Amino acid sequence: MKYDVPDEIERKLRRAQRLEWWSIFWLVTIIAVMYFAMGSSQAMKTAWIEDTLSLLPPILFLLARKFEEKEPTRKYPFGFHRGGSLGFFLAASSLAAMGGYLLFSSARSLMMQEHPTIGNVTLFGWDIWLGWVMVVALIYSVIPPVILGRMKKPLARATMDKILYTDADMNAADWKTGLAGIVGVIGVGFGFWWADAVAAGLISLDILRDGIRNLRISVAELLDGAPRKLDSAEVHPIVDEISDTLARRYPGHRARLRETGRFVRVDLVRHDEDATPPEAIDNWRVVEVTQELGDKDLS
Amino acid sequence: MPFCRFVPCSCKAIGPGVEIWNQAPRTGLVLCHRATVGCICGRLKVRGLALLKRMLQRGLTGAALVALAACYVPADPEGTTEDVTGSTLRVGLLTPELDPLEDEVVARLAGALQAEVEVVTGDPHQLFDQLTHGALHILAGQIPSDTPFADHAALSDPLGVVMTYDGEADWVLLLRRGENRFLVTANRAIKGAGR
Repeated sequence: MKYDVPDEIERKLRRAQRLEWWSIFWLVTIIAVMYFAMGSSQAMKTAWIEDTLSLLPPILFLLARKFEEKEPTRKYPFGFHRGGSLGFFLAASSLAAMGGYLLFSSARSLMMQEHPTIGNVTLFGWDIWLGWVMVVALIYSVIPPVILGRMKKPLARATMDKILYTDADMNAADWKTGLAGIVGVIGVGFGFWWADAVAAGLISLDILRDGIRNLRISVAELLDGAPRKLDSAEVHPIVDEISDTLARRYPGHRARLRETGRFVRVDLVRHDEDATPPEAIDNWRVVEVTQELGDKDLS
Repeated sequence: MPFCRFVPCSCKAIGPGVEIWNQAPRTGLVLCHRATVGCICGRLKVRGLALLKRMLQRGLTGAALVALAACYVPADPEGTTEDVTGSTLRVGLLTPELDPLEDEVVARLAGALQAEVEVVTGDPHQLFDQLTHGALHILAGQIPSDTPFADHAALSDPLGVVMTYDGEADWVLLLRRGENRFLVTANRAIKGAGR
């Protein structure tokens, strides 16, 4: 169902779409470079999997954008706004699962005292240690996402897009993954076999933390919870803002807010039988204000 | 400052049409009145050169550090290269005798580390056990890269191909896992033997 979002927001969404296409392009090149430089380093493997996973949010964002504007059908009479919510939930689940798996895998490497083997490779006629190639690949893997992430973050805030925000946040923090990977590989180079697994463990902890935080936000959205902030499971200030506005207009009544994708739907719970329809609210995110008769208080 | 030209230009802080007046000498802050653009550009150029010089110095220091690190990297966590150098290279053999190519690789490796070669034969599992504990340095004997031991040992670069039950596989030597300097030295011996 298409709603009239302000031109400014529409422009930002289109710009975000372009940035996401660029993200996919750069990520594919990064995934290819990292794959060839990966060897048997645990930290490299973890960083590579993280890069592969980073493809998911841009793809889900573009898909959600396509679905969001679709007209309702007989089978889906409320439209497809929640496509974004579902995509966000899927991205968060895969992030959390992968973070957990990678943490387990690096803990196992440490316990089993698996010494990572990194040999040499001939590149353009030069015989060099593969570790140096990995370091270069890791540096390359960090640059485009960090730049794109910083460009996407303000767009995500303005358009209140959770998938975009998660993506931008992961990208902007990508330098940590790269740095941990580099420290791990160089540590192995200096003979500290455990450096690799410790670095991989730190990267996977970061992935797991992001995954769990996003899972909490997305579950709240799917369960019709009150709108949440972009970067935490705390309730968004729009809830108090709109509740206060409605409380002034309709004293003694209560407003319930829920999120469907970037949009907010308000349900005014009235306990008199006044049939005056509620007035529209001046906020582009609020696409529907309905009213129902109900109990006065919410426990 | 006699060489300064007064050039009208727009000042973003106040709005178009306002002239930039001067640059405060120490802070480098631009005061928004009238411009001494020539002076500002001059200062920027000097600053740019200084910055370039500093970046070059840092780059060279970094490159020197990397070059220094390259002498020590990769290292062996368990010190295999150090053990073998000037001592004995212990080779576990899984076939009745060493293939001539394997023999050449082993001789080159021993030569690079000024070591004597000692060939040990016996039960494959015992030999492998000795390799993982560092009592042997290399396992040889037409080993395919898909050997069941591959998960617990480091594989050298291929010497060629060997026939297996499933077809062909790379022909490798097995080394102790994680001994990266030793692995690099062995790979260089293989490369040299191939010529």
